[in-house]
Amino acid sequence: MSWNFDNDRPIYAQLLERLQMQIVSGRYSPGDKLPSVRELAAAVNVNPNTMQKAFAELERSGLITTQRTSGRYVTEDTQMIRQVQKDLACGHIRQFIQKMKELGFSLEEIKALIENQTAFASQNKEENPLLLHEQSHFASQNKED
Amino acid sequence: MLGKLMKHEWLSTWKVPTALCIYLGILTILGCTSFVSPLWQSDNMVVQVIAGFSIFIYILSLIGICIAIFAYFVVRFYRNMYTDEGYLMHTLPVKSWEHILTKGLTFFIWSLISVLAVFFSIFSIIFSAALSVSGINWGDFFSQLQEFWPEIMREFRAFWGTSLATTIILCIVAAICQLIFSILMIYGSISIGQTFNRHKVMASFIAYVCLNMVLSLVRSLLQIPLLLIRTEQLDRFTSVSSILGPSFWMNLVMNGIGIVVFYLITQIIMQKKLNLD
Amino acid sequence: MENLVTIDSLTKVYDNRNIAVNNISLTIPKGKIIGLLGPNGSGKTTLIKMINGLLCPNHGSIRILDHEPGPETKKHIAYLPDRTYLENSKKIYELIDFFADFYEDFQKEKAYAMLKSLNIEADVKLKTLSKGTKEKVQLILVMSRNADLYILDEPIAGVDPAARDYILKTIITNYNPEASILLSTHLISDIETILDEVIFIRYGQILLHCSVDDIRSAQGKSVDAYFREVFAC
Repeated sequence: MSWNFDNDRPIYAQLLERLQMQIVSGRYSPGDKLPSVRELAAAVNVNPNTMQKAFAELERSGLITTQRTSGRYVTEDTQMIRQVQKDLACGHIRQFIQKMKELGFSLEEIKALIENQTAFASQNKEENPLLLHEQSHFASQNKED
Repeated sequence: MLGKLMKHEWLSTWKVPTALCIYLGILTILGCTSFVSPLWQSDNMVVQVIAGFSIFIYILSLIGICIAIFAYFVVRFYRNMYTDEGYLMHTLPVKSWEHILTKGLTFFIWSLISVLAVFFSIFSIIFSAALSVSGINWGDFFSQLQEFWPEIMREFRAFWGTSLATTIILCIVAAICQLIFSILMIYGSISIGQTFNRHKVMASFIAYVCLNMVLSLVRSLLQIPLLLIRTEQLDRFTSVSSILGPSFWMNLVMNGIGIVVFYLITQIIMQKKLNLD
Repeated sequence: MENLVTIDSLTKVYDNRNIAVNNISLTIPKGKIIGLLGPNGSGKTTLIKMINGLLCPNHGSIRILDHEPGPETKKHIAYLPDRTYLENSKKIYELIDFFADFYEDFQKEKAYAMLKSLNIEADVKLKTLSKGTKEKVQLILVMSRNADLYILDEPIAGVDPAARDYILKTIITNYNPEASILLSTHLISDIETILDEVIFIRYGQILLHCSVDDIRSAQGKSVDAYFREVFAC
């Protein structure tokens, strides 16, 4: 397991994001024990001090708690997790809207494109993402015929 | 640390000199046993040529083995202290003098062993030859020697004014000093060569040659006043002067001073002027 | 004492002309992994040699755990030079015994475990190994020590990428808050993520000494990219 890091941002900030993602997406469930700083640092090839910084930030925000003898645990506060999940999502959405605006779309157009794509996604929920691409290609070809 | 350093020095260097000594041993045994056969009294020209040739090989081997062991330890010091291996040696938690001592001691011990081995070899060969020629056997010879030993000692003391034992002991002490001095002078020369940035080995050789020349000069110069001093006056100071003479003592003193000087040179260069590439 | 290494106004001049290290002052705290980065001839190796007691400075002082370089500091420093510095004719297990004899903090089991995971036999002579394997062996011997200061001079240069990962993981797992590691290397992008701080050095002087994250925040680029910028030829 080797996480890829962006070159232009501090590593601890990227670690923080990754860990938040893993907690909100359920990779680490509420109440789960987290691996030690050293273990995780070795697993993803980062400096333990940097990992420690990320952990400290998570703890400060309340997403994880430290039990003196047994280690670090994900909080049981599912509401907080949900809130963090929402906050992260909003952050991504804002970034997305910004990008789309740069591409030249208006807010209405953005909404329409989103509806189109989500409808398509729910139709092909069960299928292989590769096939999904072929299907859309097939569909667009059919349209032209 | 000193013991461990000594142990590892020994472990790293015992193989080559031991092999050389075993080779010497084999030569000696071959030589000694050859006297049992009538080979040496043969009239055949070819056999005589081979006999002469084998003596030549033997003597060459003796010299070769001594030189080889000597050279081996000189190179060992240089390689282990002043090339890449020096990066390991000089980062060990030991002091410089411990390095000099362990290396010098191993060098010294093996030099002694090689000298003794050569001496023993020559002794055995000559002895076997003499015995086969004269037809005397070992047992007779040794019982005769035991009988006449006290008389030999008495004659020696009467003639020379001092006992054989003391003389031999002094000679041995002097030889040991000379050996230690030679070893330290080599170490000093190598170390001096190391302080140069380029052509280090060449510089070491040149340093050695120069030092030797200087020492010869000093010795010759010191001989002059000694010749002027009358031997009787010196007799009052020592009883062995009649055999060994004032030069003996002068040499001993010079070696003693040289030992201290070259040890210090080596130690200081190792500690303060290390110049590993 | 707060800092592991304190260097004050250190200067080393060769032959009155070549100033290899020019009035350097720096401190190395405990528990950090620090990269010493600079082009060839910048004074990195000279600085490292002085810390190890292999070279005497002309001016200034080095204090490691409040001692000057000598047998007392050598006990606590594990040094990996950028060359084959072990006796080639020795077998690996003999070298392990050697290290165990001279260094109290050497852990034999760790060395044998690392040899095993890298598939290296302990019963072979060093000279029969390839250059890369020799380097791995040298690194294993150094990392099996429980030293206070590790100085690694180009530890991953001659090694394949898989082994590099293993070496970096070993460095991370060996991490202990009482010890520090000084890494000198050209392969910055490979090791950037495991470094706490970096020191840029050129012409015997320190250009900067700060944390990796600070560089990324301030410059908006990786240390590798920033290095290329600063040291552009």
